[in-house]
Amino acid sequence: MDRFLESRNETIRQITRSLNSAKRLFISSIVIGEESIGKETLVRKIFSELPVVSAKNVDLVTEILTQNSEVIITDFEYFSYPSGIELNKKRIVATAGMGVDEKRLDDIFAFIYHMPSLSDRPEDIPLFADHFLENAKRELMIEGETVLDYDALNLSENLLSLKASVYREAVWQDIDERELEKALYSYFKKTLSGDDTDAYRKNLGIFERALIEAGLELYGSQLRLSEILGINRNTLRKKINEYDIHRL
Amino acid sequence: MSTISIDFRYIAEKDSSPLIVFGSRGDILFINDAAEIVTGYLNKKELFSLALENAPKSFGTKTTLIDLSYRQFSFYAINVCYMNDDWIAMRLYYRPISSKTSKVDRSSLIETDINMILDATLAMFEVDYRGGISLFVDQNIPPFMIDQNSFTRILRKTLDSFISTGELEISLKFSIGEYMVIEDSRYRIVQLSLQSDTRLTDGDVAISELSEKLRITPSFDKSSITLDIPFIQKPSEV
Repeated sequence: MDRFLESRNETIRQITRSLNSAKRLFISSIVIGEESIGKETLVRKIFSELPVVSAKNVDLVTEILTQNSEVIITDFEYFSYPSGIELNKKRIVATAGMGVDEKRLDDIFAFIYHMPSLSDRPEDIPLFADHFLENAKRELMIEGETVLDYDALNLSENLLSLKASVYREAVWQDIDERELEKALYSYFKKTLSGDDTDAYRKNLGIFERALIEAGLELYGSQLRLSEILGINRNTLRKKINEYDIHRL
Repeated sequence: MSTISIDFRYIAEKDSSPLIVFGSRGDILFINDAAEIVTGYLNKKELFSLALENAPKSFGTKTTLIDLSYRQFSFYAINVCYMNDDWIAMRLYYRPISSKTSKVDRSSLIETDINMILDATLAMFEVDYRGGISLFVDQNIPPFMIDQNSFTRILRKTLDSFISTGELEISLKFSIGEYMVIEDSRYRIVQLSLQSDTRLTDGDVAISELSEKLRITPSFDKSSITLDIPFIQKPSEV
């Protein structure tokens, strides 16, 4: 994904610039950071001609290091230092998770970069979210407009959770009545239990809560919403309290 | 023995020990080649004060054992003499340096544009550095042989010593008139200096150890680090 090279985050831009300079030199570099922040994509893009191997595959690492003077090693936190190979005579470009022992890296790597997580670079979120949305619409054949609330997207697992939340949002905003019924049908079939005694009221809440929340967001006042829904204002207020809706 | 035909001035000029003759007001009347290099690091006033502090009480000569270190220079004795009030001469004696036996691993050396390494390392340093950098580099230094990975590690550690400073001045140039001898060959010196108002010293030992392997001479000061790098050229192909 070329979007990494267009990052608006200053740290990522500096790392990209430095790695591009390092490309012209026979020096070893490592990028450290959380999972799914784009470390691998970045080094694969810049050092596209080098073979790639995961440190989890010990035998393959040894084989590739024996045969090549330059290599990309991912998951470097799992790297077991092979005997008989002079690592200081190799050009290793590596990526590692947060669990890597940084003291050991110092003997091998000239450049050690710490790549920020997605939540630490909010300026990059629209860039990736729009990219994922474009893909989602193409892959899921969604034609309607999707409006993303960038602040509400899930960044807990960086790009992985961001992508999932964008895809879900694209589906939710495109869903029609028939699809909604299908989704509810699947849900009820999965969750209705023979032990329930209050399932009707509980499941009705799924519909009522969503309806009232959306209505309040769209029309603002409870008075106006009670008119639109065709229910008594006191009944609406009671439901708002029952579902603990704090929007107004 | 007649000494009429002996050119003592020439001998003094070429002596490896720094020799300076001051006038009564501290002006320099004579300075030999070795002392010229020292004056690049110590000013005239400091040197004159040093001569006066170690001068004999009356006309004559006095040699004092001292422990003087200025950057990469280390002296173990000073000799001061004067025969009248018009001049005073000072001679400094270098402390013998234990000869290093480690050899340069030439298989790791790659012909390199040092400015390219500096650029790449600075780009990495600037990820975390919040101060200002003034760069004075000689872009015309020809490519020379460097162990790129090890040298970049030294450079990274050297820059890290200045990570918390507000301003950093970096200069890269040929050191004029200075040479270093490695395995019986004489090399020019490329000098990389980093100067600020303060610095961290935690990395000094690691910088020294790494430097020794590459025959780089580091000099540490409370606010600066200088790396004297041998300018080893690519062997010409026969």
